[in-house]
Amino acid sequence: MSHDSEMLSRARSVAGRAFEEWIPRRCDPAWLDFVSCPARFTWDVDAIQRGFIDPLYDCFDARPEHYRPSLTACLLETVGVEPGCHSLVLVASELPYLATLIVQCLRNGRTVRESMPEQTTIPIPVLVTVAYTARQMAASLVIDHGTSLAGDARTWLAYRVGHALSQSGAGRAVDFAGAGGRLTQGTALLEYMRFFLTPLTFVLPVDCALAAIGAQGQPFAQPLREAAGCAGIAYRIAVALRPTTRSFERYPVEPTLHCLAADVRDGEFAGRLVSLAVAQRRAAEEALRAVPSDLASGFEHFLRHVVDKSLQEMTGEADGRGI
Amino acid sequence: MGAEYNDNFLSDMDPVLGDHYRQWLPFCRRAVLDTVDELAVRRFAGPAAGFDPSRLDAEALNAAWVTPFREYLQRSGKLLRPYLICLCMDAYGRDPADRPHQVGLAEIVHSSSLMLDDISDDSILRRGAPSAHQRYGTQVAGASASSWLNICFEVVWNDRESLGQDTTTGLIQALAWEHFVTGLGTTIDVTWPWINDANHKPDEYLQQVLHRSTSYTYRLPLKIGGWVAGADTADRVQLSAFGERIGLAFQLVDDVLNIKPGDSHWGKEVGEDISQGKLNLQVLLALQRLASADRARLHEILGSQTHDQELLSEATSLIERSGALDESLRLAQDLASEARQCVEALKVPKIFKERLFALGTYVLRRNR
Repeated sequence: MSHDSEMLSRARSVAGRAFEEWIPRRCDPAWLDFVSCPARFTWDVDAIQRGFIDPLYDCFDARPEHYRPSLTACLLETVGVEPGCHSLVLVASELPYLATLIVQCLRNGRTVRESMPEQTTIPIPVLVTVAYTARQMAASLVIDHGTSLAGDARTWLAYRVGHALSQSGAGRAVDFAGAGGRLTQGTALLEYMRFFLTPLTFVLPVDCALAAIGAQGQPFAQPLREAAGCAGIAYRIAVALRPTTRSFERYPVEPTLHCLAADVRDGEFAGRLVSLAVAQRRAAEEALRAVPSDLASGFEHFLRHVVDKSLQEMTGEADGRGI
Repeated sequence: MGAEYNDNFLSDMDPVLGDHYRQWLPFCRRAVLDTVDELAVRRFAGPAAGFDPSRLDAEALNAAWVTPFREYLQRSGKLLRPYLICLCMDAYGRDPADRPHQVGLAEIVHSSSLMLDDISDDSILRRGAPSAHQRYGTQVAGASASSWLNICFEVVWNDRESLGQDTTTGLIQALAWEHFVTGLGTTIDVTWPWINDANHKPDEYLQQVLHRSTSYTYRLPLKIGGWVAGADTADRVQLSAFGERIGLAFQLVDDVLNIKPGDSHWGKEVGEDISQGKLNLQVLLALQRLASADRARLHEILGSQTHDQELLSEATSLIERSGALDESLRLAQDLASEARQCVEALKVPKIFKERLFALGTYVLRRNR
């Protein structure tokens, strides 16, 4: 965390508060009535606490980086919008990521028993339901409670959340199905990452910011999204290639990419990946040229303090862009 | 995709409903399969989305993402959800053929949720063939299902110009909310066996069912139907309320049939819920009402995961003696009456009200 700027620290802090504002650590019937609808019968609050809130916070607390909502908050701050006024979009950018982390420990077994990871005490039916509920909560919060957004921005952002989840799900299916060997050839890997990994990496957080400032239809929205896609690819490669494995962590900083894991020990392939990451980092900066300077500066700030830091960790060099 | 659908179940329905259902069934089949084809081949993965499948690996995408899902669609099903949308549209004078994507998406949601349910329940079979996670693995099946579940937002968004802004927003809101509350209901369902505490309340079970079983089967299709049919706000509220009530009644009747099937065609093991130790309404009511020795005995059988028919019969007898089955059926009847009132309030021709009444009757009176 020593590389953090003040802006990123503020962003991380507001993201943490936003999460607790919208999803309290202690569940109660009033909150359940609020996020769904008034109970016709009686909520089993204890079951929701133990079967959803506690496992969700276990993951949330284990990964304090909150990069995605921090990116959203940085973008808002640089255009003069108080991120705390859009706390809900910060939560929407974090929930799908947490959902992916929660189930990433499962094996691709043919039965529940075969799929059970060693390090969890939570049964698989509960685990997959925590992930499901967290995933699906984002769109519901946005469209039902996103009062800080204009009406059309709410609908658009809910659709974008669904879109990102759909792309990400298809990508995870392909990755787990063992298509790795084929994906790492030619242009396939870049296409795979661009299409399936980037939506839930940094594109959705950018969409959240665009919706908050009502700019989703502006001409610069697409280049900003393009920059987010390229930055996301650079970052995900960097995380996958980090020399230190942190096996003691309950949740990895990013879900494992099986398509890379198989070939990453191959020096030539790893070298190609490093080049790809660096090229994508540059492409992100290129794309930002078509974005208004205030928004671009917020994104560049994030690039320097998060993406470049990951690239530096990947290569061990002082400047991630200068590899 | 030559899926063959068995329509024998239509003979259990009043002809006023069954004949109309039969009339729309071929269209429902086509709408579902064509929508999936379009999403898989042209819209989602096609050049229009800025993606050239030949540059990735169309075979890998097809094998991991499309095939596990398509296999579920190809297995026999009632297509009740697409039909409910057709029923609504016809009732309000709209042609369902104008909205094949929205008709199709109700079944896409349903099949996705079945794939996820099968993982949760670790079901070996689905409609006579291996479940998706048995065939492709838990992660592949779960990720593919999640993708298809959420592609529905895309189905709506891509048609936003012809749907109009209000309907687009209404449909996305309905999908987002139902997806989320299904998670809450399922959380309660899967957490109960884990925390192993039998002191739950009947009302907690009903709240769980309200957000689990009723959602994708009745409430969501009727919400979609209301929006694409152009029903006004008051009618959409009534359609949703109707779906909620018959959905709840359906589950209560289903729970009763699980231990006391009405005929020999009941498709599951008799007493399966007792074998699995499920705490449904009738069990929770019985546990409240039985004297302590009988209550302890019922607890014991529920916790034993037995398939012994004598023990299952003993548990059934305890539940029945407590009056819990009658109470469950009485509540189902009350819900059906409330559902009838919802239909009465709709501004649709009489024949369509009769069809919805018949649907309520089918749910309540079925034997299997």
